[in-house]
Amino acid sequence: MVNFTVDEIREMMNRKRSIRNMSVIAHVDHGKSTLTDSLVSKAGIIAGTKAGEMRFTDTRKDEQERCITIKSTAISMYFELDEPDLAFIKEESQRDKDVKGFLINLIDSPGHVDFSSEVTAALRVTDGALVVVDCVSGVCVQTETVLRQAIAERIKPVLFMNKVDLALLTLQLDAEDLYQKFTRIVENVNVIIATYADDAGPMGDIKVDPSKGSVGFGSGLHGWAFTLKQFAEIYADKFKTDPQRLMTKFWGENFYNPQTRKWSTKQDVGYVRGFCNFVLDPIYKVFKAIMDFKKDEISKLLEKLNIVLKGDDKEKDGKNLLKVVMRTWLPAGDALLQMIAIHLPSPVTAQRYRMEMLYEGPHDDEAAVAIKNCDPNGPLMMYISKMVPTSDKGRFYAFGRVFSGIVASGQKVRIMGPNYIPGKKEDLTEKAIQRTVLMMGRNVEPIENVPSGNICGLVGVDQFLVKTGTITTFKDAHNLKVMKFSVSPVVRVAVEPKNAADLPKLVEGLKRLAKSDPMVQCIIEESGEHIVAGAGELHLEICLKDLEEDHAQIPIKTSDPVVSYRETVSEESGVMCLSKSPNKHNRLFMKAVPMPEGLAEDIDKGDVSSKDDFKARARYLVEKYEWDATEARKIWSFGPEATGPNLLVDVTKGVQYLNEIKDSVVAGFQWASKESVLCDENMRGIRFNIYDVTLHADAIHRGGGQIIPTARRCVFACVLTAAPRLLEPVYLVEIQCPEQAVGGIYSVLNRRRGVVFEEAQIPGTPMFVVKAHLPVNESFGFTADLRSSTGGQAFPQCVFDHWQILPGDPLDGKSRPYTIVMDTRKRKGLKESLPDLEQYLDKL
Amino acid sequence: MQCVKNGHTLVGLLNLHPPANQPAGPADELDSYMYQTVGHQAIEFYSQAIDLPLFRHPILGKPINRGPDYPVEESGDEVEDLFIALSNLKRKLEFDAISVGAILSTYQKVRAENVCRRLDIDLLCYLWGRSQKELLQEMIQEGIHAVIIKTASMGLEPYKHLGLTLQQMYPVLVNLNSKYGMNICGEGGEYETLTLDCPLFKSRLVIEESQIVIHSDDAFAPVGYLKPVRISLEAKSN
Repeated sequence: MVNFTVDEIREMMNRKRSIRNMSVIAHVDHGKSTLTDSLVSKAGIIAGTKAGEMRFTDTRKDEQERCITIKSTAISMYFELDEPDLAFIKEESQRDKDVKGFLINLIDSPGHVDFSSEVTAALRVTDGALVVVDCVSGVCVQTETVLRQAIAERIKPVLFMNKVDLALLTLQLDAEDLYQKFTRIVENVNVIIATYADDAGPMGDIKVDPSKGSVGFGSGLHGWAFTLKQFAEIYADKFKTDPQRLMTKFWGENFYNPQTRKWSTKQDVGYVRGFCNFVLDPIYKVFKAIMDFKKDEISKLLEKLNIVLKGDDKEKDGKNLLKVVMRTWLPAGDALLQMIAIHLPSPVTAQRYRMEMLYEGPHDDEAAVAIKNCDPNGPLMMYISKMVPTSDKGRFYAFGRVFSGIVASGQKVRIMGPNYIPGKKEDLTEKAIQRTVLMMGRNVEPIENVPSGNICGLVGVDQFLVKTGTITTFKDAHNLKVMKFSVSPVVRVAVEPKNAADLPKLVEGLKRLAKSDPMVQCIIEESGEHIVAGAGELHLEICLKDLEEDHAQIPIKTSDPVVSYRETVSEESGVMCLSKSPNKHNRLFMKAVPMPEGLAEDIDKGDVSSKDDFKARARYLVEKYEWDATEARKIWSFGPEATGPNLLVDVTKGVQYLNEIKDSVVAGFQWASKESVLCDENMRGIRFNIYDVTLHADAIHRGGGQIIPTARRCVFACVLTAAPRLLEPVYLVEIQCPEQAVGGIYSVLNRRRGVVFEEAQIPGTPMFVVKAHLPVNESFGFTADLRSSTGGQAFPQCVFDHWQILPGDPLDGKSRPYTIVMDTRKRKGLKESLPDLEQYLDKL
Repeated sequence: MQCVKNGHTLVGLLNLHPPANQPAGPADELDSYMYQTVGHQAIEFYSQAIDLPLFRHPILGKPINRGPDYPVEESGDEVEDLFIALSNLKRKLEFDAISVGAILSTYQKVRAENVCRRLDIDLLCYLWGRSQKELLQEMIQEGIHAVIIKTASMGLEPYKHLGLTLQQMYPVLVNLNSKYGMNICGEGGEYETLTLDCPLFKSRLVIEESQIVIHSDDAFAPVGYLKPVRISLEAKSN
């Protein structure tokens, strides 16, 4: 039975200090959804016996069939903590004094890299993250990616080591080895945290620490878990000491001598590590007794642990008995709930330091202050992070987080898309919200209104937003920041209906698809082709399936996948490029030069951005890239989209009226960097220097119609004269396999231009990890190929890693890049010949 | 038309045209800072059309002083061609003012003013400072029948727009104005027109034959003009 009602949840929503908004994040197959079941079952939503098997948050049929999470799923739950546990919560902003209960809004997210954008969307609306790591495989590539993203969004992590049952039953590690394994994982996780977070930062020290109880251990599948807190409480009476002090003894270099009953920090003869003696030893004893079918010992142990078996459970033995015993002794839900309630921040705590990361407007306006204080009486500020399909075809719940104010059914609000600029009317709609709903896994519950600090869905907003946006009641509100994704849609296919008459349905279906997924892009090329672009092969496969079965409901033909390229330059322009305006009365003189290595990546990461203070940015460029100090202060623009990894720099000296044409030149540069000269792909890593400009003395002869096309032509001439190159996307592939399969992996990678850069055994296991770079273009069918070449023993994870120059001159008719340029031009319906420099470059 | 409305009497037409003594025949487009040259083939018909004497003078100078001001005479500058042409005309015809169509181009107004000052005649500048959108609408409404004969701006395409009337072009021009801030009346050199008929004309011009010439084949704003090959006059009924 569900042990709470919607009314109770609504009541809890006002207790903003007792709310926890959290995501469950991990590498694929590390057991997030299975673990989440433990909490869902503790909340009474599913039966305890079903927990671990049902994967309640995997709501889609294909998610259940494939045993993989594709969409993130939210669920709100109510729990109460016992009085002694509440004592662990010390900060005032972390608990409403008079209540024992907690409202946990949990989002289970996918682990496969192709669906990383779902993780990004989940992180945005939560404040804490439960990071799940399979203790056998350890920290994997996607663990790092999601953890890094969490920290960047100022999400506080706690760690859970999953699949401890496997480590015990399959690997048969002894206690000390298992301890070492755990420490390594904790260390790995903390290294990542230390890399991306600063202890002195606004969140404080967010490293995970078993001795503080922010690390859990257990098995989601078997439904048991513990933190050191549970064991410390068991022994606290015996040692007549405070559990919190005991917890520190149970981790690290603390050794206990059972004979002398003394502690030491050195492992002398007769001394056993505290963790092994007090935590692992009892667990090992239970495992051993049950798996060796020692009836007498079992009953003795059960008595000691205060476990009374009921009904059918008495008849069980072996693994089934083990499950029941462990689950009764150390229920996973309790341990997880305590970790979440004690260690993850409430919205009140979190919004204090998250506001400056979230809000684009001035940090002291009405909205900013309300967000900072999580104030339900302030103006409404809500971020919509994704769209969730409703049972009504083509309609979506707009899902998001209320950061301040209250959102209510029937309330009139401003709906602002990502392109909204305060004071303007573009991308802005004023409408009433039809209904507010609570998201409960596969179900929704209507709710009258939702105050700040909570997560909910809105009905009637979907048609005014593409994917994400800001909902507010404050007239002068700026947008909440757009999310930054860790992956980009580099794999694309063209789709068309099998029956030409179905085209309108396809077009409508593509619109719905674009809405339903935070990452997918649906584009129409000039040739009229409909393109679907996704993060990887699996992502595309799921998108196309959804398109065919749900969104368009028509049979669809799909082209072979192709990748997106970028256009760059490899040298400085060989000549000073001059372009004249159509009226011949204005001239631009420019050159292109490749950016120093690393700068494009710094721009991707946001370390160098158009929004930086220009002086600070200039200092950074001078120090790191040895830019000229004056030039570094004169960056006119980033492009494309005003944020991209290409720069337009003013290096002119004393030119009259230059500032008057700046907007037009920037517009031409934006356009050119978005659709570059070779094959209309984005530019990347190019710096354009404006050396000189001669302008008509009269303003009306140098308007946009004259300057924009001139700037665009000049930028193209610069690229064509600077040894242009194509960049292709490259994956980082991580493959886990047994030793004998390594050979097969190498041969598959060799055939596909892959380069192995690391090969290592996972400590304490017979498994190997091979890391390689693989061009995305070579990755289609890679997983299947790899499985067949290794007898199904190797499983790859591909994450987009970097852009790499495709060797060869695209202007040389015999090169590979030339072929790609021509194929791309053909596909896009462009003229099937190389661009002619004459069209861009003018003579003096 | 504004001059007539304001009580002036038209006494003659003056045109500055591309020099004829070029090896390859007269150039059509000089990319001058002062004068429209495309369509110069049609000028000779204006005299009869409007029934006034026409005087012509070749453009021999170049734009030498390209600054915002034109304080002193600059020998060899194209502005001096206007001065010479008007000085010559003074000996043949009695007049006390010339009219120019500048709206916003200070560059051109300043230069015309300089010439007038030196010749002690008045400059009539009735369109100065008008809203371009209103002005174009007014010209269309009052019966000026002009066609586009040169395009030189993003958004204007030679093969699509050359030969179209102002009336046909009006929505295109207004749209380009909101998109790129283009001057609706084309004063920034965006386009040039040839007037085929207006209320002052007694007979109208008809372009019997023409050809499109691409002046510069730029990628995004190719520049082209319409070269009239054969023109005739057609009497107007009333």
